[in-house]
Amino acid sequence: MDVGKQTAKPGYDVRVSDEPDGSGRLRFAFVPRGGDGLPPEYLVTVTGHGAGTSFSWIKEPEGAELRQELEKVAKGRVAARRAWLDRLAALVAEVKAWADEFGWVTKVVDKKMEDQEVGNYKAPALVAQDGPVRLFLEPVARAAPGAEGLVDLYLMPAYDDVASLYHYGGRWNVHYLFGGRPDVANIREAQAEPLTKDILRRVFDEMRSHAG
Amino acid sequence: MPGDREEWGQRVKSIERQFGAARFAVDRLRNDLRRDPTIAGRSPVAPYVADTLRDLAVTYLVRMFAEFESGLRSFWGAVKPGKKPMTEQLINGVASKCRVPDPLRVEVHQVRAYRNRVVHGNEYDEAVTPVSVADARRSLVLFLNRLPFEW
Repeated sequence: MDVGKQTAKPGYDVRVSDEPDGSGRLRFAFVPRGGDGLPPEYLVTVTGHGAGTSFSWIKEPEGAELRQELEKVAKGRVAARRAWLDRLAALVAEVKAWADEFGWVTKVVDKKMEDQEVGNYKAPALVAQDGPVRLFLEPVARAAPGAEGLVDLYLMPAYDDVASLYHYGGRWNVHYLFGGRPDVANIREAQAEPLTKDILRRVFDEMRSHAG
Repeated sequence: MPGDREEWGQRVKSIERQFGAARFAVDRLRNDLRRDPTIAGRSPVAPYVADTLRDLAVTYLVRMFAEFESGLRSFWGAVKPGKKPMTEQLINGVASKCRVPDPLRVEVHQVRAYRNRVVHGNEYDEAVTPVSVADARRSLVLFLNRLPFEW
């Protein structure tokens, strides 16, 4: 189960935001389900993650059982956010290392992401350039149907779609229309290959050759 | 209002992604209704699915152009405070200020003209060629790419 979607019983909507003090901590607000416009019933600030998670209640439930339930939900959301950011950082680092080997000039940049499940955050993205050819590896979503992560590869500056990377089966998979393969309606339907240095090299080489 | 050309480019690209999601959803619904018309129940949506699919691209093209125009106005407001030109003049003014190649400026006007025909009919009597969402995105993002990194 995607812990990012774990709901809070007995029926609370969960809203995640950054602490206003700019500390990087997350604030979880629990609003009774169906209570759009109502103030949160419970509020907690979460610091850290995993075994080091701590909770500072601003509006605390009276019962210990409910408090523990809500803390479990918050901890799960923080864990989902951390897992995604770690997965993304590893992907960007790996692609950057390969692109550097291919002789491309690379730069890691930040992309602002909005996510109602785990709060807003900055995610790493990668720009890779070889002469006039510039590629942008951009995180798109923490989760997609059948995948735990979606990252797109574009030819810049026009944002022309090149490939999509989906994380499933414990690895990143490249959906790319390699030369000579039949056209499909969208990139997701393109044949998937596990992401390897050789596959990435083929993609980069094809982009370079199309540029002429 | 400060602006960032990369952010506006990403906003335009985001509309294309949303279009892709909407088209997939409506196309799926149309196919499901063909297989089993009863799934719509008493909902009045079934008769409008074909029209929705037909008009989906232009709907998102109008949204995409609105996002693009907002980006230009954000930039123009920073360089010429208080000035609010009509869209055609805005595009030409930004193109002149940012040295946009003329073929690209013309492409963006083609998107604008098609968008105007969709919204207003052929009120301005311009020669209009339909533009796909992908081609519109390409022209609009390349135009935005000529703006300064930040303003």
